[in-house]
Amino acid sequence: MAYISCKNMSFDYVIMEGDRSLKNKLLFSGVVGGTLGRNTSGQLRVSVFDNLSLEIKDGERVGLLGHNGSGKSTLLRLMAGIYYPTTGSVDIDGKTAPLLDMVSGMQSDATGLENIYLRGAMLGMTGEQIAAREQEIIEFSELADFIHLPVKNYSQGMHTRLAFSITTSIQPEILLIDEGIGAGDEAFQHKLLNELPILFSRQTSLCLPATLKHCWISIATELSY
Amino acid sequence: MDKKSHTGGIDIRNEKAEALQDFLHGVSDHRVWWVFSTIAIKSRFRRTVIGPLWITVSLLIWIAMLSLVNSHLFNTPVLNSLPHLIIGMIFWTLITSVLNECSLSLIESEGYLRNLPVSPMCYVLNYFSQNVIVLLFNLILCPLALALVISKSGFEPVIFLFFPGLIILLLNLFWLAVALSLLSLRFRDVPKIVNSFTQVAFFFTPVFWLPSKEKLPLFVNSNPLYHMLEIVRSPLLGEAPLIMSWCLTTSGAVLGILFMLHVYTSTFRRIRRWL
Repeated sequence: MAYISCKNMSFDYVIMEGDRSLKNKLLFSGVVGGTLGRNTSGQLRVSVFDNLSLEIKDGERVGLLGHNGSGKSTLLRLMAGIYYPTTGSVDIDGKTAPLLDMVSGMQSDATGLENIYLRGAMLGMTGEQIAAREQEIIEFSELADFIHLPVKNYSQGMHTRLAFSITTSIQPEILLIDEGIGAGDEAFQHKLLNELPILFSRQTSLCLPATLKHCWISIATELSY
Repeated sequence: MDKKSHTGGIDIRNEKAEALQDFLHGVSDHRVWWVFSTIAIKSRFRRTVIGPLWITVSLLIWIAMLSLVNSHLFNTPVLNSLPHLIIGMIFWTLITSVLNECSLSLIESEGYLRNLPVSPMCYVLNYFSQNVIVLLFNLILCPLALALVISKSGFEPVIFLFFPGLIILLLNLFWLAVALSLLSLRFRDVPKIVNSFTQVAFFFTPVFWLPSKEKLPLFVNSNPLYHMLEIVRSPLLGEAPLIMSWCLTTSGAVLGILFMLHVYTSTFRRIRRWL
């Protein structure tokens, strides 16, 4: 049974760059971002979460709502096992597929097909497994012959189609989607809306930020703020 | 690998074990870094006429021009110093480009590091194995040097010392690559320092000039890059490397790997926060 469980989790970013004057300016907090402060060693830090506990059980679909910089993407990265909490813990059980930033997670000079093999390997598939699903991935992305072009020639929507098709092909138990998915055109989003419930029949948890509120509310079983 | 438990705070022992496991997993996950590096090499030469052979050709151009300058400067016939130069340049290219490219490896992989739960080791090994592929292309020039050596002084069995030499060289480069990539991610001056150091090191390391073996100047003798070069170059030139070179490079590899593991395991959880 797949689940994600965060217990008393805190997470800070340490700010490395910027001269003193910039850091001082940053201390006047704006409408975006978390709380700025200094840690014990005097470094400037952004506290994104403080003592957050959250449990997502098998089969739940959770939408995350919040203003820009409130930590939606950071929470997804913690749940994907990319970041480590500063204190507290996060337990993840299940095959996780993160769909966070579609563009920067690809080799821009390489073709779409090469990126299928690259991302597939990074998501834990073997060469044979990828080869077996290659056609299925290309068909789902509807990229047709564009698959043989370098992805630097792709539009953002085409990136999204490709990344989504590869990631869902590993049949993840936990799918973590960030709002970049909104770049897909209306037709593709419709396709996703039709496809996601099918994915859910064999998969379980899903976390997504709710910039696309109109779409997601219909599929999410729970919304977190 | 589907089950993960990430804790924060100060349970140092747990962190070390986790980091070591990630390190081993990253190194053994050869599919990822191998797919990465073959794609990168292919992309680098896409739309060129001779493709990756450019690697070999550009080194050949370097060697040709250097040997011309050399024979003019030191007044020696071109053929005398050519094997020394060819083999020297092949491995000098390997050493300096591993140091330069690998120190930037994590910085340049920021997009991947932020978005996929793949071990950071895969990104360092991507750049490292790209350089090994480049080495293979450059080794095409090696038979030319070997033919010159064998025609001049006959076949010496000492040539087989090249293989242990190569392994020790690669181990040294590996720990340097990992340690430098982590240091560079945290301290962004490091890649600049490495870059300017390797550029000037080309002149004070005997790559294109021959030192007299009887009396090595201090700046050569105390130069680790010289000893790393010697353990692969001397055997191919039909000479045994100095005992001191073996001792320094072997102990360097052992201590360096321990140092690198220490750095990796003690910084592991913070790597992605340094992006």
